[in-house]
Amino acid sequence: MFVHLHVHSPFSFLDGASPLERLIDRAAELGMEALALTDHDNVCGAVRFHRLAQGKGIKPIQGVEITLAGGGHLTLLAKGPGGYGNICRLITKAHLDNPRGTPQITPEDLARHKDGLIVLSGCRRGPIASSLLQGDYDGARELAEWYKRTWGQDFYLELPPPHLPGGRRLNRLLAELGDVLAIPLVAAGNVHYAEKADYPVCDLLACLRTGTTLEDVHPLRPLNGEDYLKSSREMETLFADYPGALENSCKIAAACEPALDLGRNLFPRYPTEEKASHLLRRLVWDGAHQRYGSLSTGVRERLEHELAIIEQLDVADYFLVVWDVVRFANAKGIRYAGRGSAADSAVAYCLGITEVDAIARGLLFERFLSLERAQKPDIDIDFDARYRDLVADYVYDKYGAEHVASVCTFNTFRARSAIREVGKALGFAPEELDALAKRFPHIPADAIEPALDHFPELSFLKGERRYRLLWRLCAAVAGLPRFIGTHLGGLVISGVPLVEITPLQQAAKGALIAQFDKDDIEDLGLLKLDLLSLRTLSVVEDAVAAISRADDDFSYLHIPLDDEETYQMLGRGETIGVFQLESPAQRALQARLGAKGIEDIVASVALIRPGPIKGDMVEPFIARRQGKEETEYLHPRLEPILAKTYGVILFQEQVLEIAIAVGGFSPGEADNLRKVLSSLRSQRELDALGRQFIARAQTNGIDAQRAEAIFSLIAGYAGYGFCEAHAAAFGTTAYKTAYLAAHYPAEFFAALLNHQPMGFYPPQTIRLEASRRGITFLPVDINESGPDYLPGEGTIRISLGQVKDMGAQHLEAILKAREAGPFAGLEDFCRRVRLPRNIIANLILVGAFDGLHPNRRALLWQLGRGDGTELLPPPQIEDFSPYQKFLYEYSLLGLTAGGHLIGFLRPKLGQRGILARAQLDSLPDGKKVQVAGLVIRPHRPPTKSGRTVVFLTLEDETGIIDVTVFENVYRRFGHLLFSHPALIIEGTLQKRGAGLGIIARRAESLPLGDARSPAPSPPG
Amino acid sequence: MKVRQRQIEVLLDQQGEPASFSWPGQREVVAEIIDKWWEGGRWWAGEGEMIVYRLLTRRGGLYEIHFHSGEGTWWLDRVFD
Repeated sequence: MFVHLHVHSPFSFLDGASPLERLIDRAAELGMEALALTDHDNVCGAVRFHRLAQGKGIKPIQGVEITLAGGGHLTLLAKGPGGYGNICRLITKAHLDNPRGTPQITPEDLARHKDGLIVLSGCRRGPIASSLLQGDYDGARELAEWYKRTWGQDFYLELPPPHLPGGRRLNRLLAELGDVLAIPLVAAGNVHYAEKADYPVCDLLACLRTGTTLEDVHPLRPLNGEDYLKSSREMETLFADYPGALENSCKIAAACEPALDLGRNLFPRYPTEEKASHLLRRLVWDGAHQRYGSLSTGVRERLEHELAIIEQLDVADYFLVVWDVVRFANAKGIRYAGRGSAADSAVAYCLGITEVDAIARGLLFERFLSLERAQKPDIDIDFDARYRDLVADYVYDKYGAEHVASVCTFNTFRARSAIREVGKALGFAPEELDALAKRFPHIPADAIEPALDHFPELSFLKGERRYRLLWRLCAAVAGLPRFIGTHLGGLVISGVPLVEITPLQQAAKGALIAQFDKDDIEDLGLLKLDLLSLRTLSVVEDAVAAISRADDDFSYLHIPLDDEETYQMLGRGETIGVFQLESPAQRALQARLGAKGIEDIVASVALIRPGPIKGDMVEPFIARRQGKEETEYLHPRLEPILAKTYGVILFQEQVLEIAIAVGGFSPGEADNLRKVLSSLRSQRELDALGRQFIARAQTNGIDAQRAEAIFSLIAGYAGYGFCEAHAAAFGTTAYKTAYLAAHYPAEFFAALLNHQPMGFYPPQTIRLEASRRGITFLPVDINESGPDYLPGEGTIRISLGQVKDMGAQHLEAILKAREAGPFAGLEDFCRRVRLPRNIIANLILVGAFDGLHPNRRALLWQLGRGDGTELLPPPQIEDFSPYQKFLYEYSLLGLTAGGHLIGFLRPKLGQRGILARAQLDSLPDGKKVQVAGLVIRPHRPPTKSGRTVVFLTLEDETGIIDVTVFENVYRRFGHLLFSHPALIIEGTLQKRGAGLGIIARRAESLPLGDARSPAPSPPG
Repeated sequence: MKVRQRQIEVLLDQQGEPASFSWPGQREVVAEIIDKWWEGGRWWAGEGEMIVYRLLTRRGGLYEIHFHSGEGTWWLDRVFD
């Protein structure tokens, strides 16, 4: 028998070519009893490897192929947890002591962390092997002696597979050395993929790694396809002359035990004199009095119930850590909002972590935490995007750099990235690849070929033979990790020094990242906290600050949740800029729903999701909400659960409640059921679960037929359900931003523009919406504009910071110079402010000097003729046309104070009978119309029928029009929808509720340079 | 060293390794297989794998030959002077 001790998974980025699952499946097929994982300078795959291997009855041996100073490789295997800890320390040292991306370890460091390791001398790039290959026998011997002195009997000379030039001779020399120095030999496979057929993928990955094409020769490319997971028999043939080396692989495997201990609690202990659970209780009861005043029996019982579960699971410290973080945010005036299933917790509400009253909403705590699932709590908090890092710094300072790191993510190949990178290796030109990649939607890399049949705008590619290999290779790399990155908000905090559990390395922005992603972090027993950035909170903060300057009494916290004007605005579908409710689908929903209360908003957040759409929940919900359809329940016990959503299952919590009420499940069991239902892989599993549910329902007094129908209902839904607590958290913010838009549009839209890019729409669309609400936009003015958009009485002044190429230092120079007094003209400006010429030109072209001199072209001439500070007077020449001015402003600001591109084309469009948005309101439903506009966000969401429907928005000078393109029309005109910036659409007007849209019948490209002469490029 | 690309006939021994090789006018008997390795070939162009042998012949010559698995043919690559 034989055990593979040198194996690379895809976590040897762009080197390992088979998914871990396939490697382990293949090892199981070959009857391997143990397997090592030795990726390059990381243990990223360790947790998955551990689980998968044990699942197949294979002993997982953790290891690494570490890079030595000088570039050589060494194979390290952990004998157990202690050895694994040393591997983590060595990998960390290798990364942190060297520039990012070039980890290497010194012999001194190796010796310092040698305990618990079995060391193999490495592949042909190992220092001993490469010395022998270069003819330096003495050098090889000296190294071997050092390794033997350091590790004694735990050091082996690794015999690489002899399928490369010089391989046989190398193994003879290694065997000789082993003989002379009494060092045992071990045979190794240097495995990079599961089967021989995977060799092309490995070679391709090497090209990606080395930046070469397939036709290039490169020493790091694999010469042949022999690095697959060979069977014991194949290894015995290959190493027939070294039977001892094969036996030693089994001996080594026997000396190693699984190094990971999953499911431990490695949470940090919150630093406090008193017991954590006591402190938590005290804080919760204090908070409860603040939230509820006097405490009813119901509140007391609920809090006791949650606290008991928290104590039994020993996670009080987690809540204290999170409480402390939000306490810091509060103290610093940093706006935040807890989100996700944490809002199911009344304890979290009393601690001030969330703003959702779980008791009042009847939310089940067990959706968040239960004894039955015994999972670790996971709380996500959104912060004002500007200050999120400040909060993270607080965590680092409080718990120490040794105990805190960012969670990592693995960037994998998707269609666009695969086309670009694989295409480059195949020798395609970069421009061709870029154009090709952009045609594809954001789909997995192995969905490219099916997409050619599915999307009409891609069908022309089907016949192109030269892309066939490209598609095949893209599919082959689908899902493989390309590189390690930083999770956006996830922080891991450990009770023990992190290097005992995970190696650390630098991320691109300087933070330290653990080598495990969020799922593996949890499996390791580490505490993960998601501190996220949400620009909406920055918008709210700025809007509130601006409002408060004029109105002392304004309080965001006390915004009434029943404001009539806000609901009327929502009912008209006027939701551009409103958090969570601004997409075309949401606008259409709001226009039909006619929301009357906060519950309608909470439901809206959950309703426009793939699950309810595909599950056909939307129409029944609207119809019943408006009283047009009767709500029926399969059983009276469902009524109290589903009444608030008119009989439609919208929330995951409702699935739990149904399981409790119908099946007699405990809350924890019910959440388990929900989780299992959402991750089912086969009909067989579903049927088994169904039988169990029905049996329990029957003992609970429900007849089998009804129980079966109820089970189908929840089974169909559970996979897509939305967490009610999360919907409630988001719904409250959504409503409040709508309130701000309705009552304080200048402050709100100014704040929104100050925090772009964000949301669904580009800045110009937001400007149009604000203008439609009566806000006048004041142009950029060199003497009036500030660094940000400035709200006034019904006005918003466009900021200097918006001008293209304007950097922070340029802005500062202008504002500082202006402190001495307003600028009198261009010459005065140039004398007082030192700016690059292109920025001054941009300021002229956006009209910043219009208040001082009306002719922009003349000013440009003046600037161009001067030597910087001494300018000639501006000449008498014709200025740019209004259209040219508009184009310059739009290209240099991203928006304009007034006007619209389509407005300039309106005379010609009008001649063709093409209508503006404002003209559609007076027309009847069903009228055939033609409209034109700039295309915004065409997209293809999933539909209940499974057929393709494209939704897009056209924007003209009077507003926006939502267009629906059904499959038959999409097949004919789909090639226009995603690649043309402006379209003419012919279709049928559809009016539903207060909303209006067009069902397209034809589409035509609208050339934008058509109406007027094109604008010249900005000078300089 | 001379580079030659000519097709040859090869007789194998019981282990499936080359025992002798020949082309019109010349026959060489293998004294020792000095080295052996595999090369993947231009797989993207449909080429198959090659097995390459560096051989010492009884007459003291050093040769490099390869077996082209896709075509099932043997080729003489190099003669080392």
